[in-house]
This record gives sequence, structure tokens and C-alpha cells, in this order.
Amino acid sequence: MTAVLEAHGFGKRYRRRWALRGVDLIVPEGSITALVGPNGSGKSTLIRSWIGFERPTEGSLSTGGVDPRRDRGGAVRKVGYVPQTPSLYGNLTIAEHIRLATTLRDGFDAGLAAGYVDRLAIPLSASAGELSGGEQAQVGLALALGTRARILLLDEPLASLDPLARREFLHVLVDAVRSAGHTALLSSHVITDIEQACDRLIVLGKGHTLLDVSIAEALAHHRVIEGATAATAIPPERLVGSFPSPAGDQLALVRVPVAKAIGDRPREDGRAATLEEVVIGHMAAGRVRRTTGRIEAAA
Amino acid sequence: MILTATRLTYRINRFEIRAIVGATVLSAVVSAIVLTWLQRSGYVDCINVFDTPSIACLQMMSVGAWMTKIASVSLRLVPVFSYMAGILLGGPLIARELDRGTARLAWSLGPSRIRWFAQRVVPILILVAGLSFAIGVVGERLVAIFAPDADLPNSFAGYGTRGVLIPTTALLVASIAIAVGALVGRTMPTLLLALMLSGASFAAIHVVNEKMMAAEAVPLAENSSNDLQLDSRFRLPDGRLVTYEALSVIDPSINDVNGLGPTTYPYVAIGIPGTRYREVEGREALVQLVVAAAFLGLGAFVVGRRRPG
Repeated sequence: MTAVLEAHGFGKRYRRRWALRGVDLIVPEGSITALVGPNGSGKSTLIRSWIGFERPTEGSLSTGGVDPRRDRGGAVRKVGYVPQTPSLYGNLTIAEHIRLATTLRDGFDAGLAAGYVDRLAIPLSASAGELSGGEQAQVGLALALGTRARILLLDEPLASLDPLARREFLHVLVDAVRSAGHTALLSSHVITDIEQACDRLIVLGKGHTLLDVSIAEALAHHRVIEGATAATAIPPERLVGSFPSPAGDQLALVRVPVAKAIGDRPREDGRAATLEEVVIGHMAAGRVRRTTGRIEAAA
Repeated sequence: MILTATRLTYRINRFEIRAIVGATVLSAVVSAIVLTWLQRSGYVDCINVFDTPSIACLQMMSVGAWMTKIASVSLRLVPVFSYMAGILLGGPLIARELDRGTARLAWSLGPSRIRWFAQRVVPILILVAGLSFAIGVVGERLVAIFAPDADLPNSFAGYGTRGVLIPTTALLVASIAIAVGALVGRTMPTLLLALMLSGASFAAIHVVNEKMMAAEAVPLAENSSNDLQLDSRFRLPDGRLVTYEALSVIDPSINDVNGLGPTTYPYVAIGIPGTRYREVEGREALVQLVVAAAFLGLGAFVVGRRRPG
């Protein structure tokens, strides 16, 4: 497994507050990895650091083999980046955005970018200010794909999109990544979309990595026990975290030992966990309470 | 590619560009109309006649007064244009991109932020220089009307309101606004801060220039409207030039109301002869360009280091 994105002991501090500390993770080549975590868990900070927009306070990063702190231009050359808000030039047309990209980046594939935009029936002559949020996100993705970078960093691009726009966005993304053998890291809160599009899951919380597994492993190695009192009977080493269901019942996410994950599970292990429950369980376990200069787990 | 980048920079900043180009064209057209009328109507000759004016002269007096007023206001607005063009075109250039997040898009697409900075800054500075040069020419023509006897290439008449100092001042102001925009990253605060900093920088350069000129001042020939008078002295019988204060120590009788008074001693104007106009103007322009280059360097440095917002 070749890693294209790496973080080793990575930490980022804003003034006296640590956003992330001691993060160690790798994103394997060819994967579509979901990066999830509570608000303020440092997802955007980590992504922005890989493209060189933030400088690590401690530790090291690698973006396609390039240290973005030492060679930001080299790191930018390795990635296509889609931010949460596409931030297009409101008074430029989409065709002009593509031309702009060609003036900024040598080797930008204008035809490829225009092809993606055209595929989504977004007129190239349309002004970016006239487009919906979903269309703007698609244009942002088309520009990132036009770079022909082998690594795509997507920082919550789905946040403001309606379900149909999200589906179209992910369809284009998955299609492009799979067909070209690229690697994508997608931060998102929309777990159902992640489940369909991604093959790996990283959960950030408590200022560091809480979970870093494949989606299949995440589902196979966790179960949910329902009932308010059930959690108290679970051995602490198996309990990941407890959290309320939408109906208000208390749920407990537990780890399944590897041997049991393969064979039949005993009845007391509860039901299979959904990916959303896996993520929420780990988030609940890693819920952070920030104090000045340090991060500690909530009581 | 350079042409594409330039065209896109103009498209991105088209509102400010249209406003400043419009102001330049309006100023040039109005000044051309006024100058043409003043030169061809014979009004200038009429007001220089001390005899009873002719009927034709009397008839054009009202229009002439208005035309003179417009020309006077236009001339006063020439230095203001440098600030307006510099602030309005330079201020939002980087600040707005940081403010609206478009810099993030551009910086994620382009590995070189300096290339992006150059693509934004160079076309705008060329535009600022071109437009303010045109206004400088307008200023030159207006000064020629108000100082008909001046030999403009060798005259300090209208110093600072014509010629090369107009574009260099505009470039200085634009460069300051660009650097402030890169530092602040917010459009409105940039405009206000750049205006204050430009005024302070311009005043500082002006003060230094005046001190340099004061150190270089020489006695001027009498009745020359081309020279720049900075001060005055009194000539002693031995040829020395002294100030009024020094003279009152040497000869206290000059303060005696019944005495001969300072008029006994020839009054001598000191300053810079008009023949040095180009040299002094060029020196101030060069200082402005050097300071402008320093601010542009600061802007580029900040763009290279800062977060995209």
C-alpha cells in the first residue's frame, strides 16, 4: 500500500488553542477516503495543511511525497482542491474560469474541465454568479479535475448541496477518481453519501485520529446495543461510545473482536451498526472539551 | 497567456476600471472643450486688455468666467485623480480576492502565488500609469492656460499638478493600496487605511524633497515666473545674504519705525531656477517609484506567506 497523503505527529495551534495534535494517519493511493469528525475537530485544518494553506506547528506532512511546509508550490502541483464554498469569481463566466486556470497552472486540461461542466449541462457562457450552489460546487470540482492532479482534496464540498446535487457531485467524483486511478480525500458530515462513495473512513476527534479503517472493516467490527441500561453492562474495553437514537433511546457502539466479526455473533452483541452509528459512536467517545493550550476528553 | 491573464484581470476588476476610465475620459473631454474654447474664442486676450473691452469681449465674459472656473477646478482635481485612481484600482485588487475567497481558488490552482500576484498587479499598474499620464498631460495643458508666459519644460509653474509626477504619485498610491490589501485582506478597511498611509507617504516624500530643495536653493533672477521661490533674504553691502532675523541683529535700526527699514537692503528671492525643473521633478518621481517598488515587494512577500483566508 503506497501512501499519498501522510501526517506524522502533526499538530496545529492557533494562538494558544490546539486544533489538532499528534495526528498520525496515511491515505493510501487509489482510495476514496472519508474524513469525518465533529465541528472544530480539525478536518479543514488538516486538508488545508496538506495543500500548504496552513503551516504545521509540530510534526510533518507529506503530499504525494512533497513536504508542503518546505515546498508549497510542489504540494499544490500534486493536488486538486475543492473547498466548502467554491468561491468562484461572480462576474466571470465558467469558460473564463477555465481560461483563468490555464493561466495559473501549466498543463491545466481545459478540455477535460469543460467536458465535466458540459456533462452536467452547465453552460460555459453562464456567469458564475448566476449558478446555484450545487452548480458552483460542480464547477469547483471540474476545475480541480482539470488540474489532472492525482490527489483530490475535498473540504466539505457537499455541505450546502441538496440531495440531488450531492448525488451528482459524488457521481462525477467517483467516476473521475476510479477511471483515472486517482486518490481522493473527502471531508463530510453526510454519512449516507460517504458510504456510497468512499472506501475508507477516518474519524477525527479529541484533536487526533479516532478511527482509520476501511468502510467494510468499520461496519464489520462494530455493533450497536440498544437500551438505556445496556451500556453499563458492556466491558469498558469493548465500549466505543454511547449516544441517543433519534427516538431518544440510548445506544451503545461496541467493538466486535476480529474473530467474532467473521463468524456468527452472539445475540448479546446487539444489531449490526450503520456507518452513521459507527461515526457517531466514535465522535461521542472523542467529544472534545477544549481548555487553553490542551485538549481533553469530555467527562 | 499574458494577454488572457490581463484580460481576465480587467474583467475581474471591471467596475473600478470603468469608473476610473470614465473619470479620465470625462476629465479629458471637458478639459479639451474648455481649453479649445479659451484658446479660440480670444477670451484670454480680452481679459488681458486694460482698455475698455470690446462688445465681443463683453459678450463672452459670462461664458468665459464659467470656462475659467471649470479649468481651475479641473486643475485642482489633477492631483486628486492620482489618489483616486491608485486607491480605487489598487485597494480592492488583492483585498477583495482575499475577502471573497477567490484567492483560495486561484492559489489552489496555481503553484506560484507570485505569478498570480504579477498577473493581477502588472495590468492594473499599467492602466493606472496610462490613465494618470493622460491626466498629467491634461494638467500640463491647463497650466499652460493659467501661466501663458511660462516655459513649461523649464518652469515650476503648476509643480505637482502636471507631467510625470501625476503617474508616479498614482503608482505610489496604488502600490501602497495593493500592499495594504494583501496585509489586511478586507476591502473597506484597505481603502481607508491605504488612503491614510498614502497621504502620510506622499507628505513624507514631499517634506524630504522640500528640505533637499531648500539645501540647494540659490538666489533667483528677478521677475522670473519659471523659478520655484522657497524663501527670501536681504543682501548686505558686502554681498552676504541674510534672513530678516539676522539682519535685525546686524542693523537694529531696520526695526525703528522712523528708520530706513529693511527696504534699504535689496530683497533677494531664493529657490530653484526653472532650468532645474526636469531634474527636480525626475528626482521626486524616482523616489516615489522606489517607495512604490518597496510596497509592491511587501505585497508580494505577504501574498507568498499568508493564509488565503
